[in-house]
Amino acid sequence: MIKLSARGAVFPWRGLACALLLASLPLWCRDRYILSVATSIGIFVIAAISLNLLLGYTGQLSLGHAAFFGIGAYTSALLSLGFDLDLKFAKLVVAPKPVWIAFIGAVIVSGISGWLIGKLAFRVRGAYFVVVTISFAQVSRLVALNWVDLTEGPMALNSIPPLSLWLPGVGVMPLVTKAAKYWVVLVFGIISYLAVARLVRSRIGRALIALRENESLARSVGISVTHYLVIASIASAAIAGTAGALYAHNVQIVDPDVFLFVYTVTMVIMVIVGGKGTLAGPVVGGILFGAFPEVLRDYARPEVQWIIYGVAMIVILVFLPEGIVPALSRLRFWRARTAVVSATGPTLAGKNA
Amino acid sequence: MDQFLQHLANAAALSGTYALLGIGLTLVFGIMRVVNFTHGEFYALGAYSAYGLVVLLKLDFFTSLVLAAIIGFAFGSVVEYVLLRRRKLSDIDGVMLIMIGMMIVMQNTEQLIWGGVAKLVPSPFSQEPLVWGAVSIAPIRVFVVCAALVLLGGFYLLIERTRLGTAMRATFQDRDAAAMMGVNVSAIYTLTFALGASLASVAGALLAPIFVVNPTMGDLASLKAFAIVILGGLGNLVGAALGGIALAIVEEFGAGYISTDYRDALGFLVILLVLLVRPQGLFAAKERIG
Amino acid sequence: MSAVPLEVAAVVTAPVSPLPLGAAEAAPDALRLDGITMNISGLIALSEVSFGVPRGRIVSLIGPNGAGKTTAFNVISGYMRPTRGQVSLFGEQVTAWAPERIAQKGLVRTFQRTSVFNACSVMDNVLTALHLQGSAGVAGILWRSRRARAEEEALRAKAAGIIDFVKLSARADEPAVSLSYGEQRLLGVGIAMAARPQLLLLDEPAAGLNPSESDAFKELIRAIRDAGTTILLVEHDMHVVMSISDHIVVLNHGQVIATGAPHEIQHDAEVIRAYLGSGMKRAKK
Repeated sequence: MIKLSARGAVFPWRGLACALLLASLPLWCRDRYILSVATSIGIFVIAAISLNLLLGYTGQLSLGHAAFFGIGAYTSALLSLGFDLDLKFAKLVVAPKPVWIAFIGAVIVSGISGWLIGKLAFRVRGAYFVVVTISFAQVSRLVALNWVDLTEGPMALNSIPPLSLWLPGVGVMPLVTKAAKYWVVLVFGIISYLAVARLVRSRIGRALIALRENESLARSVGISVTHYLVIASIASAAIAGTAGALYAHNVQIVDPDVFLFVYTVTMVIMVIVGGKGTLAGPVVGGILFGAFPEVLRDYARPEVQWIIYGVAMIVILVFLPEGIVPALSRLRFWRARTAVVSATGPTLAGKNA
Repeated sequence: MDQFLQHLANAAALSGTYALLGIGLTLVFGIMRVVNFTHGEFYALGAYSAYGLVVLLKLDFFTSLVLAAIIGFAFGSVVEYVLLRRRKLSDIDGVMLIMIGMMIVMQNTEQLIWGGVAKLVPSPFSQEPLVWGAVSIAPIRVFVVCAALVLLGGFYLLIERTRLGTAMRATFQDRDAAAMMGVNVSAIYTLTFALGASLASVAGALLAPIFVVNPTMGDLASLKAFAIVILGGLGNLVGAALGGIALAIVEEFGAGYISTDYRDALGFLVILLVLLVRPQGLFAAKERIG
Repeated sequence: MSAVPLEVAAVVTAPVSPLPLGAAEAAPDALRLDGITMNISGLIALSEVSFGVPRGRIVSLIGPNGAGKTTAFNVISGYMRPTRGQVSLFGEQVTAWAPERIAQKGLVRTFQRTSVFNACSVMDNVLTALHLQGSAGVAGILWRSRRARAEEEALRAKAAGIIDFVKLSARADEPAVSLSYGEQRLLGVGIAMAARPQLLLLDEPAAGLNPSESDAFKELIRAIRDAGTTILLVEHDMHVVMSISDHIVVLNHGQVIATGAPHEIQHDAEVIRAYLGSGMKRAKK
């Protein structure tokens, strides 16, 4: 059950505590390896949050999400590196842009591709829609692989500049330490989480959920289907693109493998197992499936790990279809409920006449 | 002109293989409405079975074809029984995701068992291509086209002319009505899925001598199969065959005249175009979408 | 409960105020069907159906099962496109418009089954239905602008008023799926009202209700009409139909076989025959 009623503005103490705890990680953990793992987990969490908006809240099984991630990564990389294109009729030269301009450009371009896919893909529904989204990601991958002029193909774009921060007195400081990279990702993680939280608790969020729950009923109260599906698609793509751009500036290499179906599947597993349609679900799922490969690294080969993930996904889908977070909250809710009933006695249901 | 004929010949050979891919998926996707992401994995299963049977057990190619079909059938029944029976098939999303999970398990199991290096299955025919004027085709490809035609014909008869086929069609039009008429609906579902899997498996075994065998071959096969089914229209065996021909032509001529690099992308572009312009498929009768 | 509380009336009443006596006849009908024919895969579900629903009245659409009532609703509300014919809403052509566009023009319908948003609380159900009365955009929502917050507060207050009106306040935070059948029906009406209909289509609102619940529903429907909303309802419960309708339209086999006031319809031979079929003859023997 998804409880959406947010009564007024309650200060999010738990959220703040979590954020502070996460922010403090580099202070008490000096292991660079762990920090770098935490950073990639953060990037995956942002991508999962974006997919959750489309999959969990709007109820659209979009299986091409790696496309938005990859478009964000490539756009940011290309804009910050600069490129020249030899088109048949002219030569297009783009000088390297400041890294944050490139970053913003990536978010915008991803958002536009979300708009494009939204407009086109939502003309078909159900299983066809799934196939369109998968095809889009595959086409993106093939373009990235083959348009070597622009993307360097399988040779990858490398030496991507890191993000930088301007501090008064210090000037422009490139963020190259593990801690700095971690904090950047954390900041964007928090921003994405809050953005999605505000969106889903608003009138727009209610419209999206309505479309998921009962499309005919939603239309009967005036909610326009394509309009809101496109909004969800744009928002979801833009956030995924942000994750992609963060990835590009974090690992500083981007190759066509970012578009692989396996990454989309990873995000899907994170959202499904964590709990689709909940705010905490993609975070939990992202942390779990971001950490598993590291934890299992010494015990199991990658193939075995994937078999475990596949089985885990199937088991969750069959036995706990809502995911981990709703199951846990139901446990607490049930316990709280039984406590209340025993304390106050059975309540009479009001007559409605 | 010569080039055109060669492309046509290649397309003809390719279309046989694509039609095979399509009919197996049509049974499951088209009739059961299950978005079967494991279809490609059964294809890979067939290919690996062929490899194991021919190369390791030294059986002849044609026996391994039959065995591949049986293996696919058996495995398909198990998958349907274990995974799909419990779910209401109306929950499309859940079923899709379960199939994806299964695909991951199958693909990685294959990788685990056989390793990532591509395997080769020797062709039972000579390598000498048959030459006909300016056009040359390898004998194995001709065999594949013939095998495809035989299988297509067989399944057409099964679906349209036998009581079993009628029971199958009835079940998927209206499950409850069919149950009331005495059809064992659960058995039909299992049978349909198993048949679809078995077809994919045979296709994989047939094509093993032509293309290499590796653990990720299923991905591309799945997606092309979807393209074919969508092109031809849902639930339509004839449509799947025609869709296979259409895709083969697009790929072959596209690769020949436009660019070979984007050969695989063409298939996807075709899907995108068809779904956006004529979602019910090129050859289907009026059909509700989604 | 016979009067509509002022604050609720303000929420649910359309900008068009109730017409003075006598003026209703001169103004265009709230709804007008002209020659609607609906051919579904060879089956003629509706054939040359024409009738009007005058403003501010309660009109019932009745007929035996399979007569085409729900199909008519679907055509009127845009979920189906008629093969022939026209639908006009307050004089404006709305044939083949998308459902959400028709809703934006003031026509809201309820559904027989699945009439609520299951996973959402009662409050969120009604808030969702108040969609058209809000206008906060993405920017306002993300920045939590004062305007967006104020609008959200206002919507909550309106939703609370509607939930009160349909007597579901005790269940406001419960997920809709946990409500009893009768409560879900009430919520369905609440949802429809939140969308501020000038014309409300009710699809079998009293189905499955016990007599006291049906009485409450009748009062509710009258109250909605008194607030200025025109109502067209499909109903099988003849007590409800005969007692609250101003006007009745009878369908059988996709055709209009009778229209008139309740007492006329009760004695119409065609209607009796349609409902009883040949049973009448057998009963007489």
